[in-house]
Amino acid sequence: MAAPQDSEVLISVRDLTVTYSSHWGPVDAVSGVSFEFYRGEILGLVGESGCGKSTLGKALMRMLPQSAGIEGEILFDGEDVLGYDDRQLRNFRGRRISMIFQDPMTSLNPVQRVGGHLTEAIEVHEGKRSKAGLRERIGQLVERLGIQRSRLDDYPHQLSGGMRQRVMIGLGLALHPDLIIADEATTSLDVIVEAKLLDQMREIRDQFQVSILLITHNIGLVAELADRVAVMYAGRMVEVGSVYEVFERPLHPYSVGLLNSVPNIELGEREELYKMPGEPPNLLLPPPGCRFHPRCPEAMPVCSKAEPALLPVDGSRLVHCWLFQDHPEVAEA
Amino acid sequence: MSRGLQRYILVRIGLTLPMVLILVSLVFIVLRVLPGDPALAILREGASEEALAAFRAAIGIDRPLHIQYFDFITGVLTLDFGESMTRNRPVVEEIKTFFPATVELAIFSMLITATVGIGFGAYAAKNRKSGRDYGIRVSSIILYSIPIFWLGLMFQMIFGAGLGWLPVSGRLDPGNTPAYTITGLYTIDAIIMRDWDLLVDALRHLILPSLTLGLILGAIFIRLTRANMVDVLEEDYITAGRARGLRERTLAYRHGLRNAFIPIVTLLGLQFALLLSGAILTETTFSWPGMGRLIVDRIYDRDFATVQGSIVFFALLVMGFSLIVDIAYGFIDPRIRY
Amino acid sequence: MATTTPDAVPLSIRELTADVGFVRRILRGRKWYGTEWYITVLGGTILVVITAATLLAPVVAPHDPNEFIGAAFTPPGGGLQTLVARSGESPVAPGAELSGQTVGVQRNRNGSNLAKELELDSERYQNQEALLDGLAGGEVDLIFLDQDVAKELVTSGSGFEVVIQELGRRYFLGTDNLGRDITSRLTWGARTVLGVAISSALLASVVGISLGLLSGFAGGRIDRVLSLTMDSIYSFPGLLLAIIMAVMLGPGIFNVAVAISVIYIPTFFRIVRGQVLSIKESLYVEAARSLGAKSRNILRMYIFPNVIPSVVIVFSLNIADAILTAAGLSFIGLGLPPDVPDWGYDLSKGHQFLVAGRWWMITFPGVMITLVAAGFSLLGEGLSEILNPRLSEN
Repeated sequence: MAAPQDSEVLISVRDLTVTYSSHWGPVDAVSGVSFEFYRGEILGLVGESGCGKSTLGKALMRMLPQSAGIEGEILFDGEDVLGYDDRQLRNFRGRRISMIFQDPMTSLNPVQRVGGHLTEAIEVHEGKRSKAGLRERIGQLVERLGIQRSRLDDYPHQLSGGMRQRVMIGLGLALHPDLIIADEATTSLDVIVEAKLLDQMREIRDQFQVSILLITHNIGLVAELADRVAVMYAGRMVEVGSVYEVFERPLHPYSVGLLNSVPNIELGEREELYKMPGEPPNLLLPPPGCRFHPRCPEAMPVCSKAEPALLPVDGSRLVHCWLFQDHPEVAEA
Repeated sequence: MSRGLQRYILVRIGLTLPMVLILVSLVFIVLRVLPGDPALAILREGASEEALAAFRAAIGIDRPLHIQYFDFITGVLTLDFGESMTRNRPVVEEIKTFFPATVELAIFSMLITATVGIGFGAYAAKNRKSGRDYGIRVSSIILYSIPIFWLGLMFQMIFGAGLGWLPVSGRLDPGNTPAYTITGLYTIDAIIMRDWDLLVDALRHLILPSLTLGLILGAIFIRLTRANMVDVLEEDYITAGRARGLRERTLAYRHGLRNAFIPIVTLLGLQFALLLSGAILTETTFSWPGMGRLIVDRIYDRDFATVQGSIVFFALLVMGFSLIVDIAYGFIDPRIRY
Repeated sequence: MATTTPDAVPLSIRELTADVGFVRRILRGRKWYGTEWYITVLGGTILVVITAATLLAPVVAPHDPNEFIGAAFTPPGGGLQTLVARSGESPVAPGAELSGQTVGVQRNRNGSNLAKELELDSERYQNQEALLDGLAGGEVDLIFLDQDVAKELVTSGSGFEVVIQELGRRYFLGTDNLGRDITSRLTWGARTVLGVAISSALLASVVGISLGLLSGFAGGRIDRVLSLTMDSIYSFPGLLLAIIMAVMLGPGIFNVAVAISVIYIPTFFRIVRGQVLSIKESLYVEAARSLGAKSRNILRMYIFPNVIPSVVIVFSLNIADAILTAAGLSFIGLGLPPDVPDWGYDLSKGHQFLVAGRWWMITFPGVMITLVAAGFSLLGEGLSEILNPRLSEN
């Protein structure tokens, strides 16, 4: 298990802000996010829909629409991703980071054979190859993922959902990237296929020595698979820590609420599922101070006036909350 | 051929037959039943009573309507459109003479339409919401707003009368007639007969008319292609391809266009009626001896039988064509099945 | 809870909802809709200008569109005459009355018309050379020359002098083969085009919408027959249909409108029928019906509000198409009586003189048709994005 202290940093994100422009004005989907991603780890990124977790994932690959503005710094293996030109970017995508999408039904080109997808991906990055060698290589790859070689000549619509998702994973692994981003990759699968896939992802991490960023709203999935977890709320990262720490004793009030609102089979009869009051804020008009304060059961006067920072609390854990920080003297305006 | 495909084709044919009957009946209603006397329409005001009566007897509209209808439908089913009233030959023979010219014009126009439409449409879709996209969109609207015959006139004025580069009327230079015709398409006949002078002559005459018709239809086709491509380019597999580091050009033209191609080709088939409408005007402008010219000329010649026969022929043609497009679609796209 | 103060509302929304006049609100829309706004406004502006011009035709148009006012084939900007005499021998002073004078003119040129109009005695010459010889030889003391011709002659010092300039009138866009003023024909012709196109689209929409409602609500056999009929009309070449209808109905503005409207009935029919079918199934109508709403109210409350945006867009696009069809019909020579000023007719006349190089006879009417058709198309295109973002992508 990769522990943060002794591992090499793969990605370092500093003050990342992603701004979409809308009819109503600019919206910060991700604002001022900083974190480290270590080689070989599985990091779970959780939060409600619209909290910016998918945007953050796309930003790492620079897969955002052109109209979106990115500020801050993303260092991948020490290289500045935001400074890449088109050619460097194409080289980076697929070879260093790859992405597995939510819906395997629609993520494969319906008029391209399965094998064609794989050969194309390899040839784009490594140039023309001998037909036989290439075929052997992708044959081995898909067999390791549990797909028969003969399936390479099939069209996507001839495969089952689980098989397509494995093809997607194969596509993600074909170039031995350092990181795979799985954006809700199991959401559209049924429970049994999902369970198989999870086992496979763990194996993949061990076999291929690849890091995985698991973007999901499924807390259970993170608990089972991830080493560390990052919780996002309204474009901010509010808590980052190891899965054990965070799930055992969440510190940020939002993490507490999020974990308590997950149905648990061990829930006692008298305990009720926690319902978080209010709704996520409209990012066009985020509340002043801490963005969570209108819904926060522990809100203090300072929370609506100034925003806390994401600071370490007991060792490696980072929390973005005034409960764990010294209050500054907020000047009354 | 799978059983599903067979059933699909049978269902399409089954649906086409009533459509043909309805369309042919509509033609009958317009020509015979609606107020408006064909005799008066053709002979114009001021014709004598005897002339009108003789005309009515000649085309058989003095008989009861149901008998006329029965004869009419029988004629359609046996492809017997009667005798031309001015040319002393069966209408079918007239159509055989004029139809190949329309086919040749249509083929060359469609080549231009497809090139212009797919080229600019795909380019606009790839650069969606950019200045170039809006430029192409607005230009295509304006291009489509140009009357076909006026574009033809402008071409005639500039390249024909003005610069003298290209002929402005007919299919061949005066005096140049093919020794004999095989298909009736002069370009193809010339190739078969290895008569290269004839080929050059035929091609030179084809340029302006097919450019006229092809460009105007191309304007519509730009829009259709763009809309379909925009849909396809928003698909997940395009995003997934981008995440694998594929070039934008590869994504748009290899993956996008290939997927948009089936709906685009189908739409091209649906524009067939538009192509024929445009051909009528193009033929009038360029004195192109095709079906459009035949109908317009015979209206002036008061040749009711030929006009009626040609219209019925057009009706059968569009129905036949849409059936062929549907069947072809069934072969191409395995997801379409009844 | 987050409190939204008015200050926190983004500027663009405040501007759009601000209590300002209609015109200003339209102008502010450009920030919201961007390029679509410019497309719509471009189309709208073209239409407003042309409609205004043609409504004001009696005031704006210089001449009667059917009057043989000038000489045939006067090129654009031509028509003005210069009175020329032998140097120093002019019988009249510059600016003096011309009555009583005999003026040499060239046959079938604007000078000849001018002499007639001023009721002067005139001596006609076959061509310009004979005319100049006549003046030089003393047969006449004064001649009318086209202004540009006169300018060249006098500067070359040929013994002639200009007595009076800028006589008669200038034909801004020239005249046609019968000497009718093209500017006036274009101005009046817009009435014909707009009248035919708008009334045919109106007719088509009334018939198409009614049949669509009938088909959608009645269902069953009526629906099947109507749908098949509409589909077959739709698949038939529109222009050919219009040609047959126009031949059968005979010439006349209203007849042409009817002939053209037939082509566009199926488009309205399809939209309305489709909309009725989908709304009939939808839950909110089910709910309304279960609460005892009458069909009439369902129509008014649910169907029309949903159909109207699409109908407005299709209406605009159909007018554009009808303009082209109407022009095509009169280009072929069908439909309109010859005394109605019409762009398509002018083009077919111009076609005959194309080889003779009378470019202005075919250029300007074509530009006008394109402009009006483009105006409606741009309007429809822009509106489709603004009124119904879903529809616009197709």
